This record gives sequence, C-alpha cells and structure tokens, in this order.
Amino acid sequence: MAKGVLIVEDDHDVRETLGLLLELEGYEVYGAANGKEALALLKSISPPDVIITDIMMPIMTGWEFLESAAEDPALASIPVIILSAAEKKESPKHPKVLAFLPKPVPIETLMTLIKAHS
Amino acid sequence: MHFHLKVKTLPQTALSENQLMRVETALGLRAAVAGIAQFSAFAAFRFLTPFQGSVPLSIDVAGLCIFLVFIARWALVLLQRTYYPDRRWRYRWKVLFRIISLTLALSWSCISITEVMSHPELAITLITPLVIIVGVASIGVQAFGLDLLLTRLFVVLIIVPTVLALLIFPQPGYLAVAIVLSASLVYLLFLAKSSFQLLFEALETRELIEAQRNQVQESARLAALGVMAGGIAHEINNPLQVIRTLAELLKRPSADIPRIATRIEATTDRVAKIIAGLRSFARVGQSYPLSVVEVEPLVMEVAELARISQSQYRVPIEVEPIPLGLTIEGKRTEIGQVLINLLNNAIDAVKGSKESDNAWIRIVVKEHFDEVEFRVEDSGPGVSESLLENIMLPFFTTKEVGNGTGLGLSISKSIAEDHHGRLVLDRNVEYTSFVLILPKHQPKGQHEQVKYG
Repeated sequence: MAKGVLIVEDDHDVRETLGLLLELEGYEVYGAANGKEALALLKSISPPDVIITDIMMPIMTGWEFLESAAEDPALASIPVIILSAAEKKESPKHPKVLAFLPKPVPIETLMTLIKAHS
Repeated sequence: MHFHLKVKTLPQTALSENQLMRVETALGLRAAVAGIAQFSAFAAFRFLTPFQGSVPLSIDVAGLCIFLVFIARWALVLLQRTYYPDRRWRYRWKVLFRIISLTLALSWSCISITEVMSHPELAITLITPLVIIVGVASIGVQAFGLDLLLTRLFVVLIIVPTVLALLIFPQPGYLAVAIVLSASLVYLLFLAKSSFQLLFEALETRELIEAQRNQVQESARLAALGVMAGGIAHEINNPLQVIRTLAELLKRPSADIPRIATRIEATTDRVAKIIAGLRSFARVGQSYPLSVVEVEPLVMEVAELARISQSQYRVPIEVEPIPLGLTIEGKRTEIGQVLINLLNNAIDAVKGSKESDNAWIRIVVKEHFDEVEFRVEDSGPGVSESLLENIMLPFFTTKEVGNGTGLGLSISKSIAEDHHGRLVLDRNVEYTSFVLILPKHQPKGQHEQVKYG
C-alpha cells in the first residue's frame, strides 16, 4: 500500500507542485487549504504517514490545527513537518513535530525528512 | 522593525491645550502688569513732581499707547484662543502684534532719550525714581512670569548702567542722567534684539515645521511599508517554494519540460508583480513632484498591494468601477500612501472581527464636479464615539505595540490638506467609511511645477 502524505497549505500552487512531486515519488497525496479542511479530511481517510503543514492560513491556522490534532490520540501520533514563511514564535503544541522548515525549503531536505518517517 | 522618529518638540504640539492656555494667560498678565507699571511711572512722574507740566505730552501719549497695546495684545490672544482655534492664523497675528508693540516701545525709548537729553535737570531729580519703579516692577513681573532670560536682562539693565555711570560720570549730579541713558540704551538693544529674534524665530519655525513634517511623513510611510512587509515576505516565499519544487520536477526524466517552464515563468511574474507594487511606494526621497495622476491605475496598484500583504486573511478587496480616464493633480506617492494607510486600517479592523468569513473591503472612487472622492470602506464595527475625537491625532493608536505607529491617519490628514483636500469619516453609514476628497487641480502657483507624464 502506498504511503500517505497530507499537505495542509493555503497557497494553491505550493500545494499542487509539492503534491505532484510526492506523487511521482510514489506517495498517495491529500491536500487541504486550511486547518479546518484538514481536520475534516482526516476523518474520512486512513491516517497519512506524514503531515506537512503551513502556519499562516485563513480560517484555521497551522498552530490551531496542530493543537486540535494533538487532542485526538489517532492524530497525535502522526509525524508533522511545519513548512512556513512565518517566524517560529511559539512552540507547536503537537508531540510529534519533526521540523520547522522555512520556505523556500530545499526539496532534498524535505524529501529526506519525509522518507525517514514513512 | 523599529523606526526612530526624530520629532523635536514644537510649542504647538508639546503643550496641551490647558498648558498653552496657562502659559498664554501668564504672558498676557505679565505684559499687562508691565504696561501698567510703565504707565503709572509716567503718571507719577507727570503729576506728583515739582516739575508738573514741564514733561512733554509726547511721553505720556507714548506711555498710554504702550499700555493700551499691551492690554489689546492680551485680550486679542484670549479672544483668538476662544473663537479661532486654528493655530496658524493665531500664530501669525500674535507675531505681528508683538512686533507692533515692540516697535512702539522702541519709539517711546527714543523719545525718552531725546527728552532727557534736552532737560538734564528733569532727569537728575525725577527719572531716578522712574528707573527704580520701572526696574523693580519689571524684575518683579519677570520673576513671577516665566521668562528667566528677561529677568536677567533687567538685572543687567540696572546694574550695568550704574557701574558705567560711576565710571564715566563721576560727578554726582550726572549719575541719574547716566543711569537713564545707559538703561535706555540697553533697553533699546534688547528691544531691537527681540524684534529681530521674533522675525527670525517665525521664519525658522516655519522651516523647522516643514522639515519635521517631511521627516515624520517619510518615517510613517516607511513604517506603513514595514507593517506590510511581513505579509509580503510570506507571499514571496510561497512562489519561491513553487519554483524550487518545479526545478526538482524538471530533473525527472519524465518531466513535461515546456509545461513546467511555463509555470516557472508564471510564478516569476507573480513575484515580480509583488515587488513592483512594493517598490512604487517605497521610493526614497524627501519631495515628490506634483504630477497629473491617473486615478484608475493608482487605485488598482494600491489595492493589489493590500491584497498581497493580507492574503493570508483572504479578505476580499473590491474596487468599484472607476470613471475612465479620470485624472487628478497631486503627488502620486503621497496619495497612494493615504490609500495604503486607509486600507491597512480597514484590514486591521476586519481581520480581528468574529465574522471575518463575511468581511469585505471596498474602494469607491467618484467624481464630483472638480473634486474626486476616494472612499475606503470595510465591514468592520466602525469607529466608536469615544475614539472619534482622537483618531486623527498623531501617535494615537488602538493597535498593539509594534503593529501601528499611530501616525497613519494624522499623516494622511496632513497629506490631504497639503493637496487642498480633506480626510473625513462618514458617520452616516453603518459600516466604516473613510473619505478622502481631493480637488482635481491644485492652485495656480503650484501648477507651474506640474510635470506631465
């Protein structure tokens, strides 16, 4: 079975191109435009192996999304990579945050991290 | 981002209304008391001495004039403060009156000297008490007034002449003449000095105010850009991430090269557009030339910049159709800055509200005869009654530290006034609506500097 990655990102282009790349790498990719969409999506799919999330998003930010995810035992165990242009002002309230990567991140860095945890 | 605003304190802004009132009342009182003291001295001189009638009438008339001018000046200041709060007007008249009263005082001094010179016997017996009365009264008044410098000058007025007199005129009979002569001389010098000082001060103050206003305006403009820069950095890093990912996709053997190349181009355009918008309002320089500004492209550019800087909140910024070919005479960068300030405020107002999903911001431009009206409206809660009086004041802000300078609206207002226009809050609508009204043409004098193109 293919490994799953969820990309939570409000920028359509970033979500699409990263998704394309990960699909070429053989992942099953899910996309959500904000935290609220991501939480809804997570209820209907089998848990992904890694979540990549942006921080500054409308409706529900990455911080809020991670806080909600941490409260759900099924989601709290999924490794998370934060990919954001925002400054790291607070520490995420999720137990399994692998890294806080600033945009634009070298693709190699991102891929190595994803491969190591899926 | 931190900006140093070099704002020297100006009397107009450094003192509160109450303080200003107190200072002016004190100055007025001082002037009145000095006038009374001088006039009474003359009256005493005229009626209580054995030389009754021998003092020329001109001295009395001059004294009376000075007294009346002092009183009039004080009354006028009070009147202006009460009924004409426009300070520029008040300031100009105040300077004028000070100059007139000082000129009169100067003439009086000249007359005194002439009279004393022609009646030495008068001086010996009578002008001594006059000098003492005027001197003591003046010192008393100056001491209880606010001006230490003047007090010192009056001390010099008494001490220096006495010493001089003892040195130059050793005969006791001439002592009083000497005191009066040198006292008058010092007084004359002092009056001349303060007259010129007033003139120079008025000129310098004008230049200083102008320079500081430019500086504050420049800082506020940069601060407004600084506030936007955070949002814009976010927006630039996203396309950069897209380009990086596309580059990685290009490396794949199965890559659809033409399609990826087109996407890289489109993404580059996206960044270029963001930077172009930012750059057009970040021009460094003190003065911006008057030019004929096309309204539609300006508004579109500003709206786009605002859209980019707040894109993470996704508040729609609509621009209602603008009359085609509408132009306005003015300083493009400055008008753009006012619109950016208003948009920044609108964004701050709606992004915090609970109904941010239904939030909107709208720019409406209308043409009214020879004026153009720019409305920046938002769905925010509006401005509460308690804030209304203060919103246009410098450094007034309801935003958190670091999020606003409190200069936006006050600078915007002064830019509007610079353009002979105005910035007002429309209180007849339920939402928030700031209205910038600018005339289509600037007055003729400035028109010659207009550069077309």
